[in-house]
Amino acid sequence: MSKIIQMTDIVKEYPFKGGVISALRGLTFDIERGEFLSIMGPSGSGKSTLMHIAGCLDRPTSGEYILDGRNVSTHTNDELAMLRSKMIGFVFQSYNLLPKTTAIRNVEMPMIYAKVNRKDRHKRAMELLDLMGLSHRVHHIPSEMSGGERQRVSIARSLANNPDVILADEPTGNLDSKMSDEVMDILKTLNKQEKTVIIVTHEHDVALKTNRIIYIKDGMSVPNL
Amino acid sequence: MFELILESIRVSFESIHNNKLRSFLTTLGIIIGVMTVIIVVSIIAGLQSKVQQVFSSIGSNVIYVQRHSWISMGSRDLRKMMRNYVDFDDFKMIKEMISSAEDVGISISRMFPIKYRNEHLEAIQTQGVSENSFKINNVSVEIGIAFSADDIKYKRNVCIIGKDIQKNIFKNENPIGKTLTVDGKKYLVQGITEEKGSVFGQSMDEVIYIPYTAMIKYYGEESKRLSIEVRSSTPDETIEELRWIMRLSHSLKQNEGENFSINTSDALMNQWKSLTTAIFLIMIAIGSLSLVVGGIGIMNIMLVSVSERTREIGIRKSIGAKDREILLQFLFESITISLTGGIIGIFVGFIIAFTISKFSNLPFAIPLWSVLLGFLFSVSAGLFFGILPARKAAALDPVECLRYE
Repeated sequence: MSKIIQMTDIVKEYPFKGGVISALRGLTFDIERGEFLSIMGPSGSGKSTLMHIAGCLDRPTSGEYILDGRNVSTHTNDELAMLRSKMIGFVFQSYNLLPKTTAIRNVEMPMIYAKVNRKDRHKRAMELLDLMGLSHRVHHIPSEMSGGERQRVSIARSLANNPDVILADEPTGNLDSKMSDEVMDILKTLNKQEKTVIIVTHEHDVALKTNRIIYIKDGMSVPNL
Repeated sequence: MFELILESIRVSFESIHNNKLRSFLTTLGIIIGVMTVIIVVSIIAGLQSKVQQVFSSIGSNVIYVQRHSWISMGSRDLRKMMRNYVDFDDFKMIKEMISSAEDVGISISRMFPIKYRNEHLEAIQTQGVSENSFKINNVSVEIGIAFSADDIKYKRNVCIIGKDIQKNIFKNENPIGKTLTVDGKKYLVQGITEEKGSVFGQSMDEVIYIPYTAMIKYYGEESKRLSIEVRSSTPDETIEELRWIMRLSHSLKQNEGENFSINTSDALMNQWKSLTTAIFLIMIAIGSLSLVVGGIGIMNIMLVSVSERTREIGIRKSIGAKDREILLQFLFESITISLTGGIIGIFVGFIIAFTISKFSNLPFAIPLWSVLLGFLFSVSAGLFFGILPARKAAALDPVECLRYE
C-alpha cells in the first residue's frame, strides 16, 4: 500500500495577544491509501486544526505535509483549492450545506467549481443522492430534512468529484445513535470502495468502528494505548 | 465559468428575493439616477424635435439682416442700444449689390389695432412685406392669392391674414374680398395663410401681412423693426458678402465693429444645441452623483452580505471554490443588484417621460443612447462599488469562515 498522507513535524501556531499559541507541536504520522481510521482526542487537543491542515484548508507553520506525493505545505491558495476540489471530500458535524439550496444543488456545487458540464453534473448528483437513499429528497432544502438526511446529502456532496480522501469532522456529533450507525455504515462502505476515510471524533464507540486510531493530546500524537 | 456566472446571478436573485425591502432601498439611488437621466434626456429630445420642426419652417437657407442678434449674449450694452437701425438704404444697397443670393426681401413689423364691423382687436402684429417674402419665409397662402409685384409697386391697400384673425374677426364669414381696417386705414383681404400652429404657447397665426410700400406710404421710412431677408443656396458665401455690403452701407472703418446683425436659423439652432448640451451635461452630472450615492449604498449592503454569509463563503471554499471564484460571485451579485435597479429606473423613467409628453404636447422620444447609458451606468456602478466587498469576501480564511456562527 502506498502512503497517501505523510505528516512530518507539523507545527501550527496562532498569534495571540502578542505571543503565540501552539495548536500542533510537531506531529508526525502516515496514513496508507485505503485506510479507515479515526483521529481521537479531547477538545482543544488540536484535532480540528489537524483536520484543516490535512484537508488543505490551512497550511502548517512548519513541518512537511505530503498528500499523494505532493508537498502541499508550500502550495498557493489556488493550488490548495484545486486539491480540495479534486482530492478531498469534507463531511462536517453541522453538515455545512448551503441553506435555501436544494439537495441536488448542494451536491452539484463542488462539480460547478470543478467545471463539470451541466448534464454530467446532474447525472452524477442524482446517482449519489440515489446511493444515499435520498431520491425522494432531491428538491428539498436542508431545513426540510432530518439530521440524518442532511448528513447523507453532505456525504453525497463530499463524493461529488470522486475524491481519494474523505475527511469527516465529528460526522455523528449531531445525530442520534440510530442515525450515527447509519452514517458510519455508509463511511465504512465508502472505505470498501477504496476511499481513504479519516474520521475526527472524540467519541470512543465511533472511533472503535475504524481500523486504526490516532490519539492526539496537546497538539502531539500519543502512542497507541 | 459560465455556470459560475449563472450560479452567482441565481444566488443574487435569491438574496434580493429574501431581502425585498433592503434590496429595494439599496437600489433606490441607482433607480433614481437612471430614471433622472432617462426623463431629462427624453424631455430635451422632445423639445429638440419640436424646435427643429419650428426652425425648419424658418428655412435653413434664409439669412436675416437685422439690428440685433437673435442670440443676445451677455447684457445689452449701451452701444448696442444706440446702434443704427438696419434701414431701407441698406435694403436697397443689398438688393443692388448682392450676387450670391437668389432673393432679397424685406419685412417691417409693427403692432396695430384692427377692426371689421363690430369686431376689433388691439395690437395685432402687422408685417409690411415684399412680394417675395412669402416664398423666402416658406409661408403659403391657403385661400386667395399672394401679393403680386404690382401690389407692392403700386402700394395697394391689400392684406393677407393669418388663421387666428379669420377665426376671431370674421367668424364664419368668408373674409376674401372684405375690407379690414388696420390702424384706421382700409385694406382689402385677398388671402389667408396656412395654419402654422403655436410655438411655446405663442400663436404664429395672429398676424396680418400688407405690402411694405403701403406701410411706407402711411408711416414713412420708419425702420425700427426692419428685417432684410436673403435667400441663398450658398449661405456662407452670402453671409460674407452681406457683411461686406453692410459695412459699406454703414460706412464702417476697418477697425470698427459691426453695428448690425446677420441671423440665420442655423446659428439659432446651434445656440439651442449648445444650450441643450449644457443641460444634458448637468443632468448627467446629477445622474452620476446619485449613481455614486446609490453605488455606495450597494457597497454597504454587499459588505453586510459578505459578513452575513461568511459561513457560506467557508463552505464554498471547502468544496473547492478558488478565491477568484468567490470574488466573481460577489462581483456578479452587486452587478445584478445595480443592473436590476438600472432596468427598473429605465422602465419607470420611460413611463414618466411618456406621461410628461402626453401632458405637455411634446413629441415623445427616448434616444437609444440614453437607455444604453442607463445600462452602462448601472453596470459600472455595480462593478466599481462591488469590487471592495468582493475582494474582502475572496480574502477570507476558510478555516475562520467555517468556525463563524
